[in-house]
Amino acid sequence: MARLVAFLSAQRGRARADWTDWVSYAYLLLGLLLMFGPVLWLVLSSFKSPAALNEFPPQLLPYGQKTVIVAGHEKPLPLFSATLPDGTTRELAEVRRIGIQATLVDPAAPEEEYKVNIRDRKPVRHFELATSNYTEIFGKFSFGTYLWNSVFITVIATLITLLFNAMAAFALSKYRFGGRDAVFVLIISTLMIPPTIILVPNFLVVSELGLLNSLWGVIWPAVATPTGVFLLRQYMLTIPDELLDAARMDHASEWRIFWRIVLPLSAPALAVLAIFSVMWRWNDFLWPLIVLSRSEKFTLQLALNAFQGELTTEWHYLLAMTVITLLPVTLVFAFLQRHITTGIASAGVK
Amino acid sequence: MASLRLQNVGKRYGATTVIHSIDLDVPDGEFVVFVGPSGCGKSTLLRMIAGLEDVTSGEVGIDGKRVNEISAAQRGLAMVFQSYALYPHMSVYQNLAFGLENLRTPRVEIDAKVQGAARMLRLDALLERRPTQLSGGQRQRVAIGRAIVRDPTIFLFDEPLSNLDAELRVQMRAEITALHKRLGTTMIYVTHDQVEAMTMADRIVVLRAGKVEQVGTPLELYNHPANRFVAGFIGSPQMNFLNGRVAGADAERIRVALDAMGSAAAEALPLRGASASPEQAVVLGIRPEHIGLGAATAPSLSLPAKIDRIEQLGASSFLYCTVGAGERLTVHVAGQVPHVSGETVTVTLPVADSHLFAATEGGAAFPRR
Amino acid sequence: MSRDRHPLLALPAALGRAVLDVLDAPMRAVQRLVGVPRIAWIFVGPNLAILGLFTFLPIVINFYFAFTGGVALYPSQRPFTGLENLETLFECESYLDPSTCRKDLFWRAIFNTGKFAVLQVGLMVAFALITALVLNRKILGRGFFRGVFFYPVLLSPVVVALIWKWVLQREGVLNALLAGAGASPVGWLSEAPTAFFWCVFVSIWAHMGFYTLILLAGLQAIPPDLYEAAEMDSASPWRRFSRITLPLLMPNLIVVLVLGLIRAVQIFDEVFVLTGGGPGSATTFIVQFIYQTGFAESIHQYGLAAAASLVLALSLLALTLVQLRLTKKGLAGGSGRDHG
Repeated sequence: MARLVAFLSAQRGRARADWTDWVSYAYLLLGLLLMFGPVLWLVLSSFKSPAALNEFPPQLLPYGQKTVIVAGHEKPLPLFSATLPDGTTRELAEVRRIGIQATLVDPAAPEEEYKVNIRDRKPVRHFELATSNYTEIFGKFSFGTYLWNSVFITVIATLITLLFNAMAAFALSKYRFGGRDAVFVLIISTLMIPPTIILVPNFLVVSELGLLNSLWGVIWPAVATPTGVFLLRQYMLTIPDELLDAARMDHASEWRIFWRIVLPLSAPALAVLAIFSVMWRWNDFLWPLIVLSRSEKFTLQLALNAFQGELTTEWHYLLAMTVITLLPVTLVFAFLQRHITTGIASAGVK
Repeated sequence: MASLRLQNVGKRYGATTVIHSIDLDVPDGEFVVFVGPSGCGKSTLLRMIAGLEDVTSGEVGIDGKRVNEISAAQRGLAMVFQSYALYPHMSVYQNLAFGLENLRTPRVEIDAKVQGAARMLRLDALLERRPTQLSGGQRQRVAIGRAIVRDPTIFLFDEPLSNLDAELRVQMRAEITALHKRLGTTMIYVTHDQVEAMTMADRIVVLRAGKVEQVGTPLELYNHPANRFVAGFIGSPQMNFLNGRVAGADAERIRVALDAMGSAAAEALPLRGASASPEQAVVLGIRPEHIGLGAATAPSLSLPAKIDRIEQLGASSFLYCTVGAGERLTVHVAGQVPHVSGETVTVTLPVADSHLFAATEGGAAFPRR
Repeated sequence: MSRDRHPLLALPAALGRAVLDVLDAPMRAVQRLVGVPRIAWIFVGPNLAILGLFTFLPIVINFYFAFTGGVALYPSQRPFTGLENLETLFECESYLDPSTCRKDLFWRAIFNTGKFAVLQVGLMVAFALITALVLNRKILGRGFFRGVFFYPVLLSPVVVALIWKWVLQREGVLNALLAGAGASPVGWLSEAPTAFFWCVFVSIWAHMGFYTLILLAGLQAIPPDLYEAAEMDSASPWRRFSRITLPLLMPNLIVVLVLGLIRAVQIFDEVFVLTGGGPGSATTFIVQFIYQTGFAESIHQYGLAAAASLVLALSLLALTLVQLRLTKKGLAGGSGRDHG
């Protein structure tokens, strides 16, 4: 413990813990609360029943009312903590409720019935996860279809992106041909083009290609990422040219060289691009919004948007859908956080 | 211009003690060099004096005033960093002026001081350049200039020459020494190079593992090293060490039996041997430049040595020999020698130049009569 | 290639070999046809084709849309109208009062976007800088906290909007906390000023982490002994920040400011889901105007939308040019980089 305190207060050789250190920790803790808090609240809320969600002020944890099986009754009966006319408070199961009068029984002795005003009883609650929120969306709202659409677009687009970008990066890094630099500048310059300016005309192009309302209409325009080409090219430049020459001496075709030598050696960069691409495609919104107008083609993002726009939003389903939508990215983050943050930091230096 | 006093100064990081209770008095105007192997704590000690590190125990006093609690920004000292630490986005002029600006000095005064320092260090033509446009030596001088401009009470140098090439180092050594003579300010200089220490210091503080091994003038350290470590650290090439035993000792002399000689030596060493016990393991130290070849002209220990390698530089020669059962001996004689490698010669170790150290961990020297 | 590969890789490896074998023969034929140097065009071809079809061609077509009228999508069915679309957009009695404009929504969107961009970027960069400064100190769990601020950057804009929409509900947790503290609940997204504020807030929340990392990298590139030298030069903590940290961080700050502005001007996704542009048109920004005009209203006014996007693109081009000019100046004047 003393070592921890000493470490915490050892700032650049100073033994004292500055007031600035305490402020720093307070700031970071506040940041932690602010960054993770709302997400945690979303997750917790997604496990609450609609009744619990309607409560104000809301409870922190998901609670459901306890139910108990009483002899002579088919379904489990809700449990209440009731104040009886004689003043005592007991936990009783409710058999029926008519108007403001509830009929309660002792689960152990169900023959005796108590009539209690509904105001004199409080539900007995326990921690309960409303997992039905998650299971029902697949049945009621074809959530599975939206999930499939998102997965399809993400996986296929990522595969094509990796292939096309790798091929282009290979050409730009390992070959000398007239116009190479122009092509490279052309590709990089597209980074400067705001997507808004090509919304309308792209709609025309996609429409003419017959890809409107098709998942492919979302996939094809997105696969030629200039960032990907740049990334892969940078990495491929570090692959020694002698490897390629040796392979050529071994009568390998250029395609074989690309596929069997350069591509495997570029695995780290490909992995980074794959993660980026998965993120980009999973999170795409505006363009799919324009291209996909039939609800059975919606991606998760579009489905969420459509669902929340309705007049009476069924939040318990919406929250569950949102949690599922953010799950893949969160998993990627949890496992690769260190690499992503150091990668961005070092790229920022350039 | 100020004196410095360290009393019981120590530094701990958690459970590790880096500096063990150091006492030191540096009078006003002295050029003191902290020297020692890497990791000995010399830089840490310097930074504690500067205020960049906290003092865990003890007191640092400047001109009689305790400064432990005073921040580095307010101690009125100046430091020349090993990496120069010049501000890359400022011109040389701005680098020099920065410290004075922080003290709200009037523009006119700043200009005068900066120009003065620039002239002194031959930087006047470079004032508008950026550090990245300067050579290593020029950057060094800017770093020194930055210190001069502030008129500090004490100059602190943290291994300033270690990033320069050999020729430049020799030149800068002379410049810094000339600077000290000109300004007369107290200077504390840290280096791992004992040649720098020997040539520049008024007094040297030899440090090892956070402890002071010896404090003294260069020649004191050379002639009367207090222990085996200082003896081996000061002087180049390094002092030779031969193992042996005490054959007999009294208050005035010690008779030694070297392992390499077989029997007890004929001559005794003129050292105070009151603390020596018979058969005590000892180490004899003799500098290569003191060893003679052939017949002895003064009372000496003689023993045969087989030459492994000779380096003849013309003005002097180095003989790398083996004595006894494989102990190494380096001999440095003036002029040229007729010997060749493989030969066995007689080397003579004058007792007047011989040092004797206990073969213990501390290796304390037996003092001269 | 080693034989002892992880069994999980067997399937992709087999697939890979399959693709290789299938395409090897035709690719060899092509190679014989065009020769090794020119085969590069085959490799770069697919990427270029996609870019050509879905980026370069559309840019050209966009001009055509901007200068034509009518409601048809197909260009040949659209009558040439010259600058009419742009004139419609810019028809205003007073440019400072959107309600006097023919296309008042367009101008409202522009004002909103301008206000938003300045506010959001200013605040976000400030917070990113503070956070980077805090993260630059020697703290326990620095890597963890770096990730904490970066997490929201990874979330999709729709999810971000829904997370906060849920918090800001009338019966949401924020109002609950207020009620607990004795204040009365607020309709956060139903009042114009608060809706605008939350758009700014949520946008900062979702993107700050990215810029924090860039600034943090810049801070870490500053050698620590510069600060020690500044201490020896009697510099106060403020002067150390203003005369050493800030000038040396300036290139990163410029990058962050411009990147942030470019993104802020194009804000759409999270705001659209959070407020839908409302209440009224209080949080309608320029990209939403373009989307609405071109796709969401009953009559798709492609020409107007294209013209509006032209205006947007030109502004962004101007911004980028300003950035280039500023970074060049920054390099020459502020940071003292090596001129070689």
